[in-house]
Amino acid sequence: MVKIRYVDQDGSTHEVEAAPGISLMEAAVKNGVASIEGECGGACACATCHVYIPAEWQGLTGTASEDEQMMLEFGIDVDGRSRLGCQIAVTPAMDGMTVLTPRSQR
Amino acid sequence: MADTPVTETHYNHHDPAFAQDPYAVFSEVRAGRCPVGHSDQLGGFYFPTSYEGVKRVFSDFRTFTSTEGAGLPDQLVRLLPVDLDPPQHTRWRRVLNRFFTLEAANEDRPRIQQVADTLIDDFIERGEADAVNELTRPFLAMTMLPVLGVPIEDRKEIGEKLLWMVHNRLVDHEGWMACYQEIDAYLTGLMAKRRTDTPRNDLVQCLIDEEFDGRKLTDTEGYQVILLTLFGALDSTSSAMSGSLLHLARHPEDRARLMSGEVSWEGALEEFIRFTTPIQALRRQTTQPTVLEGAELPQGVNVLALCGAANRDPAKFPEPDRCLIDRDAREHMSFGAGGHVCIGRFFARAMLETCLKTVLRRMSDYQLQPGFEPQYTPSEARALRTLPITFTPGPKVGA
Repeated sequence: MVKIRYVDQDGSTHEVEAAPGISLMEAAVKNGVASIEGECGGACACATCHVYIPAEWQGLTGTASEDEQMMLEFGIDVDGRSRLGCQIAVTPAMDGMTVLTPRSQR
Repeated sequence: MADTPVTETHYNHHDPAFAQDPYAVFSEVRAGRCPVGHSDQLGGFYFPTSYEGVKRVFSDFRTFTSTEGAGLPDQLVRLLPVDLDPPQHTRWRRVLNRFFTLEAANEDRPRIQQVADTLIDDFIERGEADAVNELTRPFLAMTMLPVLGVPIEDRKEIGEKLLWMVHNRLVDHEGWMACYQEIDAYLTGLMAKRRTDTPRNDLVQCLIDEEFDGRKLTDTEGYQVILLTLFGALDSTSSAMSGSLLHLARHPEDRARLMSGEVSWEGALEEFIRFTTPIQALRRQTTQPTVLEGAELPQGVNVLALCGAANRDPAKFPEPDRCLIDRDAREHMSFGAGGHVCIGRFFARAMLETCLKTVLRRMSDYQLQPGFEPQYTPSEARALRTLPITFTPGPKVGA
């Protein structure tokens, strides 16, 4: 299992154990991280799993595809660190990674 | 004919015989060389019967587009925003979502409870009722029509017309066209009238005030959203209610397990929603040739995403034809999947929970009338036509 830390804007932290292969959105939703919704179930069609990936982890998460960038248009407070959690598959190398969540998903 | 693993059928969700039992044909197709069927009905369409296949059709909007319409055959008008793909769909959805959140549904619970009690008051002293036509169907009409600003004196007639329209698109096409025109005029007029009324904080006001995809809506477009809201709301949640009441009538042991707390309502509700699958079929069209669960589909063909087929896939839900209230059914397909996942799902859950708990509290010994055989409506929405019950008469609770 891979440890992922989700940190909300108010500083509250959820540390979850994610199985490699599932997405950052699924890992959050399955473990009750309420600041991530994932309404469409991972189809890159709703932008309610918006997260920020800190610079030091971006090498592992890669960059957003064109489809993902199009959908990020709908995120709240999107910046250069923004990604959709459903488009990032958890890998063993991400063990200990911190993911920041936005103030709102809608 | 080319060798194909696809099973050929005559399946048609508007056919009353298939509505009575759609699951046998899904099962037959699932056991074929690949879990995809084709029907020669309604101009021809393909349909996956595996959970994963249905989920892909809902999720992969680039291959399976909604822009040709989510109904098969076509509705008379486009329904918005179901007939759109992301990102256009997403722009609409982001505006509408705030009226349908979990918080909004929870805030509405007192009003939902009042609707349940008012309806039950009308027959509680009688000791018998038709739970479909006196409770579950009016429940949805009485909850939804006020939200859309339909005046009280029109609700019964509008509610009945809409319900009739949902189920008779093919059964009586001419009557359906005439009904459509009446409803069109009525709801477009409603939208126009609200433009000059005192503003309120509700969905219709949002349709008037907000910009969708960069501009404000016309009365017709507002009507297209309102009509979809009504089609989506009326005989879907009511079908889950009546189907659940049927199960609980046949399984007093499940009634006891819920009332004692042995089984959680939260979990049982998801299983009821899976098992009843009120909305059975939504259409997509292929934008390019694709392989779906082993079947080669050409470009430009209709594909039906059958929520009921996904929900009865034994690979996903063991013993799928049994309603097991203590199973984990949370991943059911009754609300669809992907960007178009049911916007009203939180309201549906709140209404279903209120309805069932209120019935069990106020008519705890209700039973089916002897000789009752379930009959289901055809169309996208599969619902019990009647549910005659008897119970020990009780007192009214309303003022």
